[in-house]
Amino acid sequence: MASFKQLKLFVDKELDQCLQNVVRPFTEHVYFPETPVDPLGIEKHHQESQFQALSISDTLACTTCQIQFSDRSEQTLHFKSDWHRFNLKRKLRNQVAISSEKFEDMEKDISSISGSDSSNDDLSDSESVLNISADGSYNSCARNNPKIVLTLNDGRHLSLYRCLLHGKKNFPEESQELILTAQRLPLCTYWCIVMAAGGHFAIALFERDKIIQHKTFHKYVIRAKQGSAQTAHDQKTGGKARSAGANLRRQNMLHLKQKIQELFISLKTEVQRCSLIFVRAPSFNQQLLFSDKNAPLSTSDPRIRSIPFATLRPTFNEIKRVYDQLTKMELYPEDYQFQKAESEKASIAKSKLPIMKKATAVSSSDSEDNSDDETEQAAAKQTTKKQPVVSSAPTDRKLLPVEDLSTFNELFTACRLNDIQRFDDLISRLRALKTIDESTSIADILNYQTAGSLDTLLHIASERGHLKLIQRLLHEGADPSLANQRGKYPYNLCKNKETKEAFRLFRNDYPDKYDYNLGQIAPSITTEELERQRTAERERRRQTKKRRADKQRSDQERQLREQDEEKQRIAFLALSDAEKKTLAVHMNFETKKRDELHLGRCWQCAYKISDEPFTYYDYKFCSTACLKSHRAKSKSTS
Amino acid sequence: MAVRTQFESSNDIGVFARLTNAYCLVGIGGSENFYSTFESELSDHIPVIHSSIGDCRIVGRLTVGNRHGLLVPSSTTDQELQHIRNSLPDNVRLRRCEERLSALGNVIACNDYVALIHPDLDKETEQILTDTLNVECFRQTIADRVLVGSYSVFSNQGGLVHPKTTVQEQEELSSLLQVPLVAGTVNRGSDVIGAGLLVNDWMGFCGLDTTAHEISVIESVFKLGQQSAAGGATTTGNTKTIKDALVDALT
Repeated sequence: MASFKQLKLFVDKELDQCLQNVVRPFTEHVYFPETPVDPLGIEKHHQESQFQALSISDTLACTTCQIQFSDRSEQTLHFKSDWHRFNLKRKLRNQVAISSEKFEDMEKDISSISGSDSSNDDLSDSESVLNISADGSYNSCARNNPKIVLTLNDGRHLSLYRCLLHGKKNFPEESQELILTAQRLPLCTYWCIVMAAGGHFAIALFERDKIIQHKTFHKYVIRAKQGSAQTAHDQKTGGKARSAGANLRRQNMLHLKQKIQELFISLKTEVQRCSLIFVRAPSFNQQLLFSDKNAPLSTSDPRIRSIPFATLRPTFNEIKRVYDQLTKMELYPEDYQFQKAESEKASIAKSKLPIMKKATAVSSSDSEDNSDDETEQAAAKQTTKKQPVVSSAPTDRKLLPVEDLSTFNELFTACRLNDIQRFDDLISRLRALKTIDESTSIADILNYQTAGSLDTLLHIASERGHLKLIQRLLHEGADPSLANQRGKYPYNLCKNKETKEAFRLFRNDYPDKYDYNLGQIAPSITTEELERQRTAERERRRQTKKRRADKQRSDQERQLREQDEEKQRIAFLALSDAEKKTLAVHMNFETKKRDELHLGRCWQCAYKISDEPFTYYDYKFCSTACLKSHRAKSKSTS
Repeated sequence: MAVRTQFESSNDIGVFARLTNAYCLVGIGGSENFYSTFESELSDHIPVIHSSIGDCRIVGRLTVGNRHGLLVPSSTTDQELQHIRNSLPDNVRLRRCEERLSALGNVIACNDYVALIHPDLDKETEQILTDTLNVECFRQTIADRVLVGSYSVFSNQGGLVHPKTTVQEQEELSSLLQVPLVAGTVNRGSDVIGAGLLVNDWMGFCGLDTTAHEISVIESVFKLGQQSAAGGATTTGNTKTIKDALVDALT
């Protein structure tokens, strides 16, 4: 296959020439009906003489099915046939007509193609199945292809990104329109690329190959380690998070929005001058740019295009890469085989990942802050996923003879069910056997890894927290440094703290028996130490319990007091003013020695007056509001 | 002769009336203006019937017919059917038709001999068409449009098709229908020919917006101008065709 040539817009003069010479889109990339150049048939209207020569045509042909007829009967027969009808419907869907032989073949497969009333639905179903399987030129698919191939007048083909010619909404309806846009492309010298993702924002304005202006900034809006923006998370959960971080992120989101708006206001004239605006704003970033009263951009703007390939974090370098990618076009020779497009597409999709990785490698070497790029993270994830496989692969499983396998199975059940008695029996029997037969040791059986999950007996026991079994297993020689299929060691699977302590105690007793560090077992611990820890823990627990009980008691007491006070208050409130007065006098006599300020209650609300009371006549009040309302009341009654 | 007319200030007269060589169906409008235009031009030769179809006045789009018969959609009430039956000439067959595509006027275009039909029309309806209207049915599209009844009009003399029909397609259709065809517009550039134009073999009606040029195209392709313009000096060929049409109409 002949190779293609890569050209760059605004740089290679040859490309301008090529774009001028575009005659039609490549047939497979047509997704609108082909129409004649003279759309309204105006020419005909002006040729008055034609009407004199109005005659019945004698062309015996069907353009839909592309056949010729020999006589009238053949013609009428054809126009009534299912084949013609089938091709008509294909034509309406912008599909290529199929030949009669092919149709007959199909008809054999589909019994319901003619006759029955419901044939319509059956037909369309079978058709759609056929399209995908039979022919490669499924034109509505072409719309999904990010690239479009245009044919030049010298037969060569030019491939460029579809988004350069039209957006997602405003599809051209005629190839003429498409060609005109392509021809005008070299004149569209002002481009703008806007990217917003994960609190990063980047914008750059290009004129030809030069960058006129650019700006990038970042705000902390993404919830660390959990992903998703705070605002998006709030919407999902109803905005419960009240942490300082959450508030900070919310605030930052507003700042980001404001900053973007201010930026767009300052760049207004430049942006208006742009003939193409490429935007990448996934998920919540969409609203930063589009959904607002004074949003910087509007979705209905025909200049807005999306970036049709994967991009990384919005940085200045990334924007430059996007621009570079967008302006690249490929010039294919005349005899280039596009038929293989389908298979190629698949291979390109496959090869995309390595390319992306390469790109990240380059960009990360450029700047440090790119080190946690999305793709790299993905790559990292992949490696971590692979890790267990890698680690477990070299530990080739030892296989056991059949009789040992059966004992292992019994041990396995014993471990699962925490049947210590049975386990001891089995071990002692094994010991007796192995004194005679030396082929496999007990340790071999104990360290046997089950097929598939690669779990050992120790995994099973620790997962279920059978302490005594773990001790016995370790004593008998079960190795805690064997990982299972997921790369987990028995210690990792421990059910609770006690189980972990069992391992640590064993480590203390036999510090050199196994490779504990490989088994990821925590440093050893002595029984005394453990006991000390336990007593401390118990003491602490007792303390907290006591504190809690104390608190509860004091709470109860306070509640009682409050209830009492409330009762008194209500009783006081029920009294008339005269009674209150006498009561106050009484109180005065009784509590002469005490601080006079803290006497009595407010005459209005009956709460105890804690400070200097507000008074008029003999009445005392807790606040001016109470005083006022009392006065108003007494006025109205008098 | 082609007459310009209007239905309650709408130029889409083809929507509100159905004209054939044997009868004319007119929708019931607010004023009698529209009806009287047809009455004055046609009542000497054929009955002009005031009717609705399923309580709708868009009779032109809902029905299809020629001098042999008339097809009405399933929405037609018994009362309306009775009224139309009583008003139609006795030799015109009337048939109600259960079709999913109920706007028969949009999906079928016909003259007295052939009919173009929507590719998705039921086989059953096709059979009814052949039986009732005495026509040969061809499934076809016009300029990639399936609504053949809306985008084309043809009589036994000639036909006008959608302006975007290619020359090749026109020739193909013309040979299929055995009438000369022209691509053109009505109502000052409207491509919905069926809505703007009503013709039979000797009379034409078009929307009030239709330009003189459009009228001249219509008259020449449907051969409407000859009789009136000629007066006494008609050629023998023309008199023969008129005679043929009359004989056709009376048989």
